[in-house]
Amino acid sequence: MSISKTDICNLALNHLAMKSLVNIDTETTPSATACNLYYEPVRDDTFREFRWPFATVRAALVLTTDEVLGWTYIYLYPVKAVTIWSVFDESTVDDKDTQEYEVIFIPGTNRRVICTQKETAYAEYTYKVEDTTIYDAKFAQAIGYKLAAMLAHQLTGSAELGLKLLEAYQGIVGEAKRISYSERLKKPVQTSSYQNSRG
Amino acid sequence: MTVVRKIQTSFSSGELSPSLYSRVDLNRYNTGLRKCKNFIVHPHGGVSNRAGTKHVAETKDSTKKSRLVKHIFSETQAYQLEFGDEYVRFFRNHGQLGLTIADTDAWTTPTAYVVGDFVDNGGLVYYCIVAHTSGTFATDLAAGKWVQQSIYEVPTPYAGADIFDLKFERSADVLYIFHKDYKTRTLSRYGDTDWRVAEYESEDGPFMSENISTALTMAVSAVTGTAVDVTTVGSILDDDHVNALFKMVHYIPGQVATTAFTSTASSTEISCFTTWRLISHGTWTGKIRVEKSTDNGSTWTALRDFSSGDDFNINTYGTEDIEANPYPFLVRCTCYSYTSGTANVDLTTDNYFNTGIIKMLTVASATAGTAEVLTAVGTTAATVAWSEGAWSTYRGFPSVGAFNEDRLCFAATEDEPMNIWMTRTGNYESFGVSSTLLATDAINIKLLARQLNAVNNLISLGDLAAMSTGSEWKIGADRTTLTPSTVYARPQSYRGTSDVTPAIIGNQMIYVQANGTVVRNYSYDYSSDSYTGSDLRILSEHLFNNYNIVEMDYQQDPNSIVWIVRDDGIMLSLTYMEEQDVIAWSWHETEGDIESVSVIPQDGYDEVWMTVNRDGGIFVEYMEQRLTSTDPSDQYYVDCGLQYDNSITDITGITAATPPVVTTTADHGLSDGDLIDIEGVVGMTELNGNRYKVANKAAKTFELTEEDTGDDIVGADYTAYVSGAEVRKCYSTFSGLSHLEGQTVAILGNGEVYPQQVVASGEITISRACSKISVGLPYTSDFETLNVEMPIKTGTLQGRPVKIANVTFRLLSSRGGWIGPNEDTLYEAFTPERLSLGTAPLLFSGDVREGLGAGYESGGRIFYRQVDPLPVTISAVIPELVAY
Repeated sequence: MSISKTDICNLALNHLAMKSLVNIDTETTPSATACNLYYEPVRDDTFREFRWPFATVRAALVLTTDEVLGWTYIYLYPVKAVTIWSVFDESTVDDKDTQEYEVIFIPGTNRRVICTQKETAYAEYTYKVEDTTIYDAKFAQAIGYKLAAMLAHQLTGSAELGLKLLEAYQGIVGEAKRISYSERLKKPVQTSSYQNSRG
Repeated sequence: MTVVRKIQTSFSSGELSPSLYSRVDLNRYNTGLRKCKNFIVHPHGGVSNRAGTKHVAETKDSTKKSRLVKHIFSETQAYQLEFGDEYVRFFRNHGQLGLTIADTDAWTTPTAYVVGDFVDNGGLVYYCIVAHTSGTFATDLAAGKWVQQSIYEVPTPYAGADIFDLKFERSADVLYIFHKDYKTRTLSRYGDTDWRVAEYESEDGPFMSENISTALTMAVSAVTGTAVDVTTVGSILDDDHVNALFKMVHYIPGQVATTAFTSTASSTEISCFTTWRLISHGTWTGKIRVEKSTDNGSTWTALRDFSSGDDFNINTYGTEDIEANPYPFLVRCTCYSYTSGTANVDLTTDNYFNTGIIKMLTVASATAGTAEVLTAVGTTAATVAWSEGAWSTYRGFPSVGAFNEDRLCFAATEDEPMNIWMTRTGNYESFGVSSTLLATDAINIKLLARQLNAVNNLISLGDLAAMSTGSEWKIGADRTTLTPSTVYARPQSYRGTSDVTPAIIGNQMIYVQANGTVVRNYSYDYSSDSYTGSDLRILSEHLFNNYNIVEMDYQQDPNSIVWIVRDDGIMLSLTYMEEQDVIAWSWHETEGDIESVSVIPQDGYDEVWMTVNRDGGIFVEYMEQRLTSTDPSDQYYVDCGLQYDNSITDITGITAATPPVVTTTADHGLSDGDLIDIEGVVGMTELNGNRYKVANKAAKTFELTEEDTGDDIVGADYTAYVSGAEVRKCYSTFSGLSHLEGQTVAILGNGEVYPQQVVASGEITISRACSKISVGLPYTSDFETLNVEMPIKTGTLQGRPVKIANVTFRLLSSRGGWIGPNEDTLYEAFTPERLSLGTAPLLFSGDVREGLGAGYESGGRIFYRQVDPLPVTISAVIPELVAY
């Protein structure tokens, strides 16, 4: 299944009982204008919900010369990252979710940076996938619901409808999370606190 | 608040004035609109964009205004007359009437030609513009006495500046034309291209009040004659009295003719009016006869015979019927058989007043002139009892007229602006009044009002309505026939009427009030036994403020609309159906100024014609009928344009073969390689809606091949052809648009909207060849609802931000349009569905729900705009709204 931006917007418009669009990029109808306005923020919000497997990336970070008090190494925030989930190095890859880091804004260079104590740092983050054809079906549905929820008031005048659609959105995201867990083969090693205390 | 839906099912109050935007309590608010431009309102409540106008011809002189005047002989023979500066031209059946060589006589010399003559010379038709006696044609032509012109035209005396002051009345073939500065004239139709202007002549009046000054007398040099001298005591005559009538009354004493007959003989002739008396004495034997002559003694008719054989004398009298003998006559007595004795006979006549009528021929001074005697004057003695003709260049001519109760009624000269003259019944050229008043005599009545206000319209509504600048009058007779003794004039109201000719709708009229900006109706009201009316524009006064109304006319079919031309070139339409409480105003704008409007019946429909002052000149145009056809290619929604649709329909057969061969009755005129569209086929329906290329043509046959490849059409399996094929040749270039040279035109070709183009060399060229096309100036039609209002629990919606998220339009045979919450925020909606590539999207009927794109706004309105040359009919709008 390959899905287009117009399809996703039409999913949203269908939830609102609105007429479908033919081409979101050329139409100037209120529906098309509103979809265009909300599509990207809604998509990015949906990316942030959790580690969508189809969009999760693990890559080396680029070191900068910026300086931040309290941190040794300052890395560039990846341009295509929506959310950073963890920052680690080769030695801590199996325990990546517990490693310390901080995302900070540097006004002088007008950019976000990732601060860690790791000399050669990697990050796991959600990549801003713009090619809709590789979207997970659940992801597309989720955007559809969220977009509908956001547009409900504007396009139909009904705020209640928006709340219902938001619930539906959360349901879909929940389902997507559950399914995604089964796609993670490398599970963290579970050790009891007793073992830990034994060193 | 939840989303609620409100339906507005009727727009039958039309565009309402801004001063009513707050009157949500009015019933008419619920059926009103904020804007209704280039839309007409149907009496049923819906609105449709008006159809476009078709170009017919340029007026004779585009530097001057001209006026369209209808002349309806019957429902099937109706003309539009273009009245301009000293001419009139004629239109019928959507075309201008012209002359061909066959209609005209060959030029000859020497001939005395007058302005208005048409001749043919060297295969061309020429029109005489300067009266002359012909010499050599080329010389006369070079001298500007002729102009090459085949458009039929009749010269008139009316100057361009006076055209809009003319008033008209019609009687079958005759159009009566009134103007206060011109003698009343008739324009009579003898044929499509044979119209004649003639002066309206009355030889017996009407006259003003009789002179009462003993210092002013008038005398003629002879009691009859075609050129007698007129002398007056006191200054009476003026140069402008030439052709004026004067009435002179003389007292004629009783006369006696005494004769002693002793042989057959006749007495002297004495004049008599109605009564003669005869007495004889003596003893005689013979026969005596009383005779009468009405031709001044040339012929005599017997009235009574008497005979005596020495035993009888006569003492009798006789009275002639005044109706049969309105003028004095001669009597005598004749002894036509004599035997013996002496018959002493006294024939006497009673005294009477003789009324003579003269028509001034020349005026030498204030006291002298010459005249033609029309009705014999009593004596050559001077008389103080003279009356001046009411109509003359000196006194002015009637400015308006109308037929009422078999009389032709006239009103308002410059000198007697409140006078009304009516002819005798059945004789529209006689103002005769008998010495003993008869029911059929002419009537002269003055409106006695507080102010002197000229009558400017006469309308027969059963009673005669005389509308003056200060009051409205009913002229009639109480439950009886209108006669000189029963007639009365009663004021009905004191509104005052403007000069604009009112429109008659059923049994009432719509007129413009004296200030020129208020439109009222006027009809008989049973309860008050008077004529009364109401202000029809009060709810839409903004369309009238600061404007004057120039002209109006009523289009009964199909929508009962009064069309009103405003002095700024905008035309208003009033959908008016009093019994259904429909009073709906809208306004119409075109790329130019509308100057005149006139409605005539055409093909069972009332057609609106107009003159429009556009960039390229002043044009005569008519508004196309809104079609019942839902074929998009037939639609016509452009102004001042043309529609090309030339079909070959005499197709006798199409073979079911490869390729199919089409046979026509007459020569089809197509060439190999021509593209054609076929539709309407019964039987071989496989061909319908397709485009083919013509191949292997003969005069009356051709083959069908593929449009693109030229391959033969495989038609062997087609159904047999039955009938009905319409073949249209496709063109890419369309000419005949020189009247729109340099202007941007909208194009609808085979139902597709093409990009607008600028006309160059009178042509346009479109990207794909079309067989049916409408080309003309584009116009936009706007529709905007009023602020939404409905009762809600917390009071009113007014003053609350309201959001209309979606709106459902209930449409009929519509396509295209832009919508939005206001005029400045519009987007293209109603995207039509295309059934197949190459076929124009169909017109749509039904509900379409569209997002309006509105946020929370004060008001909550819906704006619709049609920019395409396509029809739209909105029968309801259903907004979905939520209030903050």
